[in-house]
Amino acid sequence: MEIFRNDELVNKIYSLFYIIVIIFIIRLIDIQIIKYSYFYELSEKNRTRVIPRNGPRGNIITSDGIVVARNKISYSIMYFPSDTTNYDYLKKLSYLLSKIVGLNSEKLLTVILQAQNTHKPIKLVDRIGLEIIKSVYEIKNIFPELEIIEENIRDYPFNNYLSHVIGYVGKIEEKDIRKYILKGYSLDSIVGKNGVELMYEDELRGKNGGLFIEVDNRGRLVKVLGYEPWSKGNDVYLTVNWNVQKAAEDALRKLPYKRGAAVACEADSGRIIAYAVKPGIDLNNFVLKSSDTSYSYNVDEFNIPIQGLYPPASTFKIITTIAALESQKISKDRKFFCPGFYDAGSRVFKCWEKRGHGWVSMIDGLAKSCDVYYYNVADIVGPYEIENIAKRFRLDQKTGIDMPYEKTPIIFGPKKRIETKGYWYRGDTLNMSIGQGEIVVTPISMLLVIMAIANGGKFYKPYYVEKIVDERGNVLKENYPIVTGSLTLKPHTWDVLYKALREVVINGTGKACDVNGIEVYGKTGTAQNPHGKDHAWFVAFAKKDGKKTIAVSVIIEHGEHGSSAAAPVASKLIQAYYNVRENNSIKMEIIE
Amino acid sequence: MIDQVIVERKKNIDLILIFCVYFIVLMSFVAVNSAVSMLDYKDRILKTQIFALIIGSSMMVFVWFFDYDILNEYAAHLYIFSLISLLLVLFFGIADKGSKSWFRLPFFSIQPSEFARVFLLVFISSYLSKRPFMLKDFIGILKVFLLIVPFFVLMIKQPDFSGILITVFPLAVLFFVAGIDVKYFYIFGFYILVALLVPFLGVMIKIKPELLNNDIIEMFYSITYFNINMIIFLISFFIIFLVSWIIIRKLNPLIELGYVLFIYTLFALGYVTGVFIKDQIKEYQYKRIESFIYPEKDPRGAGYNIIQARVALGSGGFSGKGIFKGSQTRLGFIPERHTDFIVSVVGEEMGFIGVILLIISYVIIINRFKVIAFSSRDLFGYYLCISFGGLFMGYFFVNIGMILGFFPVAGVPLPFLSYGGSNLVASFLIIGIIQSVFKRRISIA
Repeated sequence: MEIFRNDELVNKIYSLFYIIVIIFIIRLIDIQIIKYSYFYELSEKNRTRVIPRNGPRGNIITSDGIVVARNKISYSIMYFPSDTTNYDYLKKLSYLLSKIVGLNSEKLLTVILQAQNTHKPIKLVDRIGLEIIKSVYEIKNIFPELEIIEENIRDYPFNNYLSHVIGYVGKIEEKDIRKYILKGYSLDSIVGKNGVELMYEDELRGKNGGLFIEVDNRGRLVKVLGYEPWSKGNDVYLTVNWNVQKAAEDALRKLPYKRGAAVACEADSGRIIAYAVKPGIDLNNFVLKSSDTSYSYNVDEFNIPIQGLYPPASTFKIITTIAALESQKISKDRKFFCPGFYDAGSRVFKCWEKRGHGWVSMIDGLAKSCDVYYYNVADIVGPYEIENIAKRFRLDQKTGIDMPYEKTPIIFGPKKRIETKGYWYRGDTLNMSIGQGEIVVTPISMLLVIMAIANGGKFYKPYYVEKIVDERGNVLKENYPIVTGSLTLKPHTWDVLYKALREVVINGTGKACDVNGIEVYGKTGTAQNPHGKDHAWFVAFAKKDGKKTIAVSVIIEHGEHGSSAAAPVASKLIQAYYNVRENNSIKMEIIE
Repeated sequence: MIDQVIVERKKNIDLILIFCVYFIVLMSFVAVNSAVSMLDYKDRILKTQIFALIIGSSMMVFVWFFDYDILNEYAAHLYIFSLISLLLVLFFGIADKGSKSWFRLPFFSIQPSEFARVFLLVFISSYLSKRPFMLKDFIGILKVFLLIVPFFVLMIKQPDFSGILITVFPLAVLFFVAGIDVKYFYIFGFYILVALLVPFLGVMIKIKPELLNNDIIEMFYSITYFNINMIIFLISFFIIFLVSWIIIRKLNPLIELGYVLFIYTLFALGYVTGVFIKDQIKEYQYKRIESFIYPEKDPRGAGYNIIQARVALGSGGFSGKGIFKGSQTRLGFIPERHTDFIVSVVGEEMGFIGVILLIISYVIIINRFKVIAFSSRDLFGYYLCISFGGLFMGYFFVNIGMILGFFPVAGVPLPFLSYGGSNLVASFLIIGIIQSVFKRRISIA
């Protein structure tokens, strides 16, 4: 019987078994000891999940403490990918959810599948109402992947007031993804898109935190492991005075013209007090529509004060006057006769007043904005002098305001002309003297001119952010006036100029801006526009004892007359600044 | 020799074997407890396990007291009983995970294939020990083969592929030891190879449907169904065989027709078996094989299970995360964690030390089977120990090999460690039989 016992063979089989056991042990050492840290990390990643909380953005506050951009709580539906789903399940989920929130079920499914593939939580619906929250909680029992989270969203209480300064927020655009990812943003972050929101994104941005939770294999919460605190971004304080801003916005809004802008700043610092643009941007519109990327924002985002280029028209006569006085070729008392036209040899140039102004001195010339007076002056002073003064007033460069896409004004004087085209006619000189021709300026560059006149020749960089304050009230950054340059004129020039500018408001074309108890100096302008009605200009500065001087620049597109369209806006603005009761005696005469 | 037997019979029980078994049972109790700690029905599972432990232990003691010759006597009865239970489960059984393999009883369920496997091994051991020359000639082999085939057919019908895999291994070991002619081993191997070819083609096409663009593969795939094409294929293949035989006979007249017919029959049988097996493969089994071949292809699908199990094992490190502290286990990331993947639980919570102790225990148990086999008093006891040793090796290879990544995912438990009443009781039954062989051993040393 023993012959059927093959112990040798059994031993061989067992030897093979031991070899396999040793191979298993080697593999076990590989997995449990050599690759331990790799697998340990994976197991930690498995069990922990972060519910991100976006830290709220900082507020934007005006100098008089009005919050113009803040946060409010909103609820969103999040989808947390889980491991135990299949296509049919997700299809059912998206169908039910689409019934509740009223969105396209296939679109939802695509988003969910995307989340499932990348294994990252994704926001399905933004800003849901109470009814939807209730319904979602009902189906949440069947679909544990759904979660309702609380978020901060941007709110602009004054909607389109001050909109070009505040700017707005939105989802990261494709072209900016790289930039923001490097700064640690997540793809669905909300970032500043314009104005302060864009320029001060780094300051306003809240510090994101999150809730670290332990989850089981279905993604269900087991316990909270801890949380990383989130904190609010820093507040940005503007130099803008809400009172003045509101007055300017309201005044612009009352006008029948579609577009216009009024900018005001302190003449001795460059602090912007008001920055009103019509039409404003409906800021909350961006917030409300930000979840739907296909929505096209058909809004007028044109930032008139820094981007609008208009001929300065009669406001440029200030420059011509200064050129006349500085060149000492014309005394202030020298009079020219205005018959309503000026014979320039080959061509006859008309004064805007067809009847003529009669004998006009320098002060009357500016006050009544007599074109013929300036034609005479231009012929005597010459184009180089005028161009020189314009350049000294920096009408050929940007103001350097901290806003994106500022345009450069263009002084197309004889020097430039010689460089490019090679000829300069007498008619060009005459046109230039009254601010027509090929000169174009931005309202903010004209503001800088009138500011420099108001403060005796200093140029400040206009700024609108006063300071940045963190959550605890520490001032992180404070802006101070920056003098970017200065010019000196003869004292006599200043005297005559101030007298003339005051005369404009008292007796001349700027009567609409005469405010009781306040010394207002200004100049109207009506820019000829070949494409339609003329643009209305008004630049001014106002003084009151014990108060700061304010400089104002107003442009009303197609406003026809500076005296009737632009000056009243400046008047309202100045009144608001000095807290003067509304002066009802403003005459709405059309005079220029 | 008889005197020696009487002199040497001192110990009635192999304490090393018993110690190792209960060490694993203890480990199992801890691991299963931890694995199910988050489940709602954990009490039921733990009660079942304790109940099975008591039944199994008493069964072991019962068999141990009886002479295992009683098994020899009733081997045929056990064989028929097993066949009937496997047949009945196809009609009255309940399905779990796609396999209809459970009898639902008032308080618990029974998986008859666990017992049938043991009884089949007992029967074949008995059959071969009574007819020692059975495997020396072809007819004998065919007889043994025909005795086994009904089991496999019934198991495929459930379908329980891993059950067959685990049964084939001890049978092969037993045949080998029982002196099967190596030539027949090759023949059998050829048959298996042909039989596996068709399911393999099916699996490959399931994984990569673009393979069908190839005309030849498309042609072969079209004949892997029970239809007229298959019959045409078999007949034309037969004709090719005949023609080639006629040609070859001109060169070598020694080749007989019977030889050619035999090879053809073997091929045709293997082919038909293959088509039969392919028809039984369920969708989830395709997924398992796919995830074994490309585990990273679908980390959230079928491959997810094995990845998570390995993460659990690896994250345990040298000393483990501590009992009841394994995050993968507790939070349910390990699939089937209290049954097939329990080694991952041990690995995560008890670390490398735990798994090594486990492996050592198994090696000792399997080694004891060999020692007891060598000291057995008769050929039946010898065969019993060898076949059960092979069975435990099979469990060990497939289960641990699956977790370590050497095998595709197969629903094979690890005896004494995995939760599962039928398997536990059947395993204790085996230990009882082995102890009985030990009790009635002879000692050569």
